[in-house]
Amino acid sequence: MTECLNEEMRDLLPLLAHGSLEAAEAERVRMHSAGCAECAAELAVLETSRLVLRASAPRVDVAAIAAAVGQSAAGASAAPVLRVERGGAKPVAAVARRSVWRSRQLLAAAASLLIVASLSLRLLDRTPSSNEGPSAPDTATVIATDPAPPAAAAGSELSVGDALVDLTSDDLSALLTELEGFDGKITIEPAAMRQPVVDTPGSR
Amino acid sequence: MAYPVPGTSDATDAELIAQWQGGDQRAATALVGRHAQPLARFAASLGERDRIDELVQDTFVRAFNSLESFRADSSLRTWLFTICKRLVLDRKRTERRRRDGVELDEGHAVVGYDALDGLVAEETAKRVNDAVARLTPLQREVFTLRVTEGMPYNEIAKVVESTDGACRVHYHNAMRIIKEYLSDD
Ligand SMILES: [Zn+2]
Repeated sequence: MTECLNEEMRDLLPLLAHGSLEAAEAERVRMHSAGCAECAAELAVLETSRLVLRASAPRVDVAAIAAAVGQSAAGASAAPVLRVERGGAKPVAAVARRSVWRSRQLLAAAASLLIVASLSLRLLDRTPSSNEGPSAPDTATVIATDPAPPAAAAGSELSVGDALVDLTSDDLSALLTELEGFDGKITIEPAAMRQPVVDTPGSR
Repeated sequence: MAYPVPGTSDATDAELIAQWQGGDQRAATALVGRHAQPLARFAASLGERDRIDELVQDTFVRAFNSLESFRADSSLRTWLFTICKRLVLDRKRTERRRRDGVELDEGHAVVGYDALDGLVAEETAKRVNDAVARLTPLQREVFTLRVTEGMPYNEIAKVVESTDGACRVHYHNAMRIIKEYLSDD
């Protein structure tokens, strides 16, 4: 199999296929490949490989991860832990309980409880027909659970539909708009609580 | 309050980090939206198939909890990929201990091609995946980062803990193997 001797061009072919070259440079590489059979063939392989590798990679539930990480990063009173069951079960962001509570965390927990309780009412009022597009969640529920002990009462469960796979950033934005009541409420926490006080989840 | 955060889609990672450190959670969300799926692809190239969501989430939680150790002069993406890789290696080590020395399958066994939507024939997709499966783990890692993420060699080198030059060689060797495999009938 022959290979083009212009190493600079060959090196840039994957970036051309990826679309990450500046316009002028992309044009230069494209011009070269137009007159170089080896690079044209290689570019075709790269474009196919890129499509296939992207299509065959696992899809993650970006919205669920964002919600869980956002809560964790916000120093919420408990660290959300995302569990994904194999076999098509929906990802669930559950809340792990902390064993030690500092006084300001108690305050935050109390605040979260109020938030979750009010959200439950708001979200449960929603009808499924409020979905606005194909990437909208099948379900969006926030449920207050586990009334005791009081400090750990702020449980939450966010479950989102399977249709959330492979969101573009626009899709994600639309989804997050849909869920804005959820996060918008959370951001009223005292500023001090936004520090990442949550332990990194260890190996599970 | 409303998503998207004004300017979020154009904001650089560094700007979003600064916003997040200033208390804006939506910046963290934007960062997750930007990097989660590439991290999942990367994990797959390392042979991970199970609990990918959890892995990606752990990557972000670790990153956000140790932002002070992140140097602004390096790329957030590189740093996230590095954390992700460390988590994958930890997992493999745990798994290996559990299985008592049984070698793990690093191949690309799974795969549905729904998302290809007719852009590539299923047979072609299979052949490409077979070709990629023939690469060494390091070649596969470098090739994936270069081709699916469009990473420059200096970033790849940080993720795989090697040199730019070595990564370049790995990429071209991988490309040669794949081309030869695909042209073989
Ligand atoms: Zn050429």
